[in-house]
Amino acid sequence: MSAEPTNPGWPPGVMGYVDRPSAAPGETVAVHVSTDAAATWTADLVRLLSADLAPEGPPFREAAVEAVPAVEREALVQPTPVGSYGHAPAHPRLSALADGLTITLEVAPTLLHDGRQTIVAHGDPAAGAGLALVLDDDVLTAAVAGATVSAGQPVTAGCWYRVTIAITGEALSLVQEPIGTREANRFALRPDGDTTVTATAPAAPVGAPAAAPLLFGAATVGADGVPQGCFTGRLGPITLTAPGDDAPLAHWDPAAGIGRDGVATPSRLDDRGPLGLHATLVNRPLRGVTGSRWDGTQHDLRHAPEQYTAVHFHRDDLSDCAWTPQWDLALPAELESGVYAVRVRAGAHEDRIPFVVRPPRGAARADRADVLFVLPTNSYLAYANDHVATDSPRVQMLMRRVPQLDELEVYRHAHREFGSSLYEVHADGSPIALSTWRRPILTMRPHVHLFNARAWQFTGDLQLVDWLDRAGRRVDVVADIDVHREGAALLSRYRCVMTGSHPEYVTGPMLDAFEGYVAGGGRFLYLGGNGLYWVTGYDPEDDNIVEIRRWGGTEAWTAAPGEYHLASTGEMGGLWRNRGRAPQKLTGIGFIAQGLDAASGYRARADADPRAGWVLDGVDDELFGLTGTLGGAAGMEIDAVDATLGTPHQTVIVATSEGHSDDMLLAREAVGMTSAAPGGARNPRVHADLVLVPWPGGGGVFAPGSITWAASLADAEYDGPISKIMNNVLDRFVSGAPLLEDA
Amino acid sequence: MALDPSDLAILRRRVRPLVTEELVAEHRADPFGTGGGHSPALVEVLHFLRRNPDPARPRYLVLRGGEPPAWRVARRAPVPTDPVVPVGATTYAAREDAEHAVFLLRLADYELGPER
Repeated sequence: MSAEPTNPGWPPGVMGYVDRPSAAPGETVAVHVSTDAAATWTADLVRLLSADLAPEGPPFREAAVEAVPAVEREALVQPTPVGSYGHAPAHPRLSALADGLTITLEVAPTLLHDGRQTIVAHGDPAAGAGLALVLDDDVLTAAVAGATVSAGQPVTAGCWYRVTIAITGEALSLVQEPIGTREANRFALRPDGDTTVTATAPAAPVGAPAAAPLLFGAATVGADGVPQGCFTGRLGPITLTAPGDDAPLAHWDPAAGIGRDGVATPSRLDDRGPLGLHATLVNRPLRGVTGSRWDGTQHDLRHAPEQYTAVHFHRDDLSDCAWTPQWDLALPAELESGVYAVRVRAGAHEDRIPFVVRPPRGAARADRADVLFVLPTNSYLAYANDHVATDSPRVQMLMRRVPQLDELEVYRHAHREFGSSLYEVHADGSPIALSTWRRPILTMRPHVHLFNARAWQFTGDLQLVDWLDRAGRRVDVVADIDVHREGAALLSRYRCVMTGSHPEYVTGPMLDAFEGYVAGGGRFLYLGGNGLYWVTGYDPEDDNIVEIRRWGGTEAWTAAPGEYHLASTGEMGGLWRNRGRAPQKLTGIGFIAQGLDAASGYRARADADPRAGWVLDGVDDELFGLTGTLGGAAGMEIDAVDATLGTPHQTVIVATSEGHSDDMLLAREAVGMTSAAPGGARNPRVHADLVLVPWPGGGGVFAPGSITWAASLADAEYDGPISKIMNNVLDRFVSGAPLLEDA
Repeated sequence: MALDPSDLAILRRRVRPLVTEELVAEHRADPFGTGGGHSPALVEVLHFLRRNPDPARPRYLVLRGGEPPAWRVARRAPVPTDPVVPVGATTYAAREDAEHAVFLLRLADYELGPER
């Protein structure tokens, strides 16, 4: 892409990432940086205390960590290898093509007219040795040194083919045969002409050296790791046979990796042949996708692996920037838990790479904080580097204004090598189901992008951090992965546990942890909207990668039929509600509506149980929370009670929001039939419920049901109604006093 | 224009009659509808324009930069990953003014307006 210095706001910049979201004092964090802004870069460690929200909200605050000396490193411009592909050790027969070799594979291209895409390659026939199967524009072509045959007939995108390449000492032939079930193919009927075709040409093939890898989905991989000629589409089983043999020389089978927990090694495509020439898959092409034989009767890959014999490659896949790390940041042993950032500087440019310093691992410390804050890092991954505001007209309908880009946004919009979010699709229109921490996450910065990002994700959560800091409340911080790994045992060390403003993506073990904690007497503040919503799984080989499958919810894309289960764990994806675990069952409330333009306030309920009156101590106005960084405490995405989804009987509704605009619309799953469901200004279901849920055993939940709750904390010099309520709740929760005041 | 037949019908039947001088003035006075909300007519016109029904029409953006901040209008490049393209040379001191400028550009794109 072009790099025009005259383009307004085009910073060369400096960008970086760290190797994990959470680390304990005494541990080491690897820092990866790329820049062309100077000959060297410098970096130190800062604690983040507030996002940059002025004038609508608090100003930026950070504190340098003196105990970590600044470092200086040589500046590297680090290439990012975008595109998924596979590489396998070459079978010796590939170097002796004249002896004869047949390659059979199943392929369903999904992106046509994308130049030359390589499906299989060994060596480079154009350079004199090797073989390749290529999709040229929309036609499959096979090549060996000195000979090329083309199928001639364009393929139909989204439909399966069996391709057979037969190589002898004298000839090269290509057979392209339409295959696949009606259910597996995009179209029930192919266009006229898309039938079996055969092409043959005389050839004197020369095999490439045995040291050259056999590539699936790319033509070559440079010394910098960047693949060229990437293929977008599905590959099914790939087989090598020698003429006259029954048993294959090699047989790569995507189904081979599917077991009771899904795909245990997603980076490996197993060879069932005698030599075990397993392929390494780079950049996580998607597993757990239907193959040519999917017949629509099976939806769980674990139960019918033979119908999931495919891997979906994308030329825009990214699971690891693979930059050279240049700093092993050693965290001091006495470093206080909190939200920190590596502050990198190169020339006039800066980047801050956030991560969590968690409390020390292991048994409880005598001097732990009373409160644990779970930073919703899975949700940051879900929205990582999203381009939705610029790419989707739909967003302007929600935001009610033209998208606004600043310098960083202009850069991010153009620099898509850092991948996209789980709210977007690949170049072929297929879902982006995986997100990785191993890349600069430019949407996760203490810096506002887009007007409503004053209260969105990381900037929303930094308003919680700011308030806690100014309130003098010491809080330990962990990331989602910590809760996933350590469960209720981690949480139970704390008098209360709080979430961030939008903890939307949670795993089963995380839900187990929250539920177990509350059942065991813990006090839980669910401080978000649209939280505990999507089934999420961690990649079994690398928990820096999360996976989702969207269906049945309010969603940016929908998984293909048969593909609702996660490859990472095998479990069914979608909403936790559709797994029988609606968030109402734990927190009393769950997602009801969204409207990204503005927010409103709450009205205290006259019918609320007076024993919960302490929640509103000091809040004199019946209607409160009308101001904030984004204009109100109830907004963006809001949650409400629903007895049919499991709101506990003992839930006290303390206040309910009102005055929403017509652009605050019901969640899709809240509307069953087509209907003239009015907008929020006239729809009684569109509101947030602020609830207190006492639990047997002394535990319980406080939940205001709104993303913008966090954005009203700084109001009135940190002494507005929202701040008062938070103090009331935290004081009571920490004190151990019962959640319902005795009469 | 490259509108599909359904959108062409909506443009002719519903949207075009709504664009009056009064409607344009309403938007100029309060582009974000913060003062009590937009009239139903303006809401409908904005819905039509914002969903970009004609893919051949520009997709506008507002760029913010400088100190103190100023705004200018831009549009996406035909290839989305290419740099954005500035539209005109005007710099706006208020975000609202940039929003209204985009509104006027969009009305012109769809040949809407009180004088048409």
